Amino acid sequence: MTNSQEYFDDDELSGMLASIDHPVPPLEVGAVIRRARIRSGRRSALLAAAALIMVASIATATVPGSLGRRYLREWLDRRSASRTPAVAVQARGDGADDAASRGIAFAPGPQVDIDFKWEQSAGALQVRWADVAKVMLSQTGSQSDAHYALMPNGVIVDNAGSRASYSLVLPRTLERARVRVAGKVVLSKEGQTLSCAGVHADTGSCVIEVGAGHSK
Amino acid sequence: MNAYAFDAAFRAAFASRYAELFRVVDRYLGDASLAGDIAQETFVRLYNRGTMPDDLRAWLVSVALNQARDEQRSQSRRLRLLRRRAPEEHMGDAALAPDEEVLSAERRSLVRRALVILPARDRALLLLREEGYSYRELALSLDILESSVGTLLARAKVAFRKVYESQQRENIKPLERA
Repeated sequence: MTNSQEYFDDDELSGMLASIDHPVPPLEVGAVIRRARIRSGRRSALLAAAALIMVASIATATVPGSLGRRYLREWLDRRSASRTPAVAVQARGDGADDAASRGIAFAPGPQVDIDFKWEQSAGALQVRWADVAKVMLSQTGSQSDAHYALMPNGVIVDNAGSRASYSLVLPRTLERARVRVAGKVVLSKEGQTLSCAGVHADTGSCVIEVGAGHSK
Repeated sequence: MNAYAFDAAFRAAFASRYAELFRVVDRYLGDASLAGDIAQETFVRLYNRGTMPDDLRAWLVSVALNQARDEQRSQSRRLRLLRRRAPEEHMGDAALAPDEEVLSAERRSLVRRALVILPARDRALLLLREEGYSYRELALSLDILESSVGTLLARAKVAFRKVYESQQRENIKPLERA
């Protein structure tokens, strides 16, 4: 069976290997092609579906007020909130003629205090609750300037001589919030308890006079 | 190459190489069912590739042996080997006398065990050379230097004989004791 060499000669080896062969299973080339096409089609369908979802998501995110846009905004807010220290200033207006952009936004801790140092001769504060991650306080509709100082638990607004109105947006998830005008509490929230010394609008917001008479 | 030309080339490749590929993988793994799956899968991949490789034989066997090695590594493969079906259908020696049949079965078992024990590269070298692969094709298929093929092949043959004979001795020992 073996020769005197160190290995089997070629014929012997061929015979040994042929002895362990199994019959070749019958297979039609057409079946292979069909299987290949099905797999290729499946891959194409998956790619097309992924592309469609991506296009749809982008399209939805560009439509104002859409679910996709809202989700994207919340997601972006959450991302920036998680990156931002609780006391970081996000936006602050400069320049007396840029009233619309004047304001401040920050990621809050568990409690937020907004203090207007002075009563104003005119102006109102609209407070609303939203699914946002940041507290946003902005000045609207006046050329009078106010200065915002960010504190560990909120903001102090130096509104001496201002006749501005303000918009305050608070995160719905905020546990405790307080707004004071010249030391008087005009809005407070403790857990589920909310009190507002102003007018509740239909939209669920609360409008408080910053001028004289806010304590009514 | 346009789609029609590729389709024709693929059919020709399948007709000329399917049986050979199956045989190589079957000998390599010792599992006909798995070898059939791997050979088919290799041609499916060739079809979806859309073009014919420069060296078809080397490409086919390289893809198939990669799958075979992956399969061998997996746990499921080991379990399947343990549950290997008992008597197998074989091509050669159809009408042997009972004694010869026993000897033939013993020899097949020795060959198969020797192949399984042999290092993967040695096994592949032996099997592909047996199929008539040139040194260049062997080098391409197994990712080795063409200049090393002769030496490696000789070593593989020596190793195979050593393993085979050691298995043979292992088989004889229990009989001697009895």
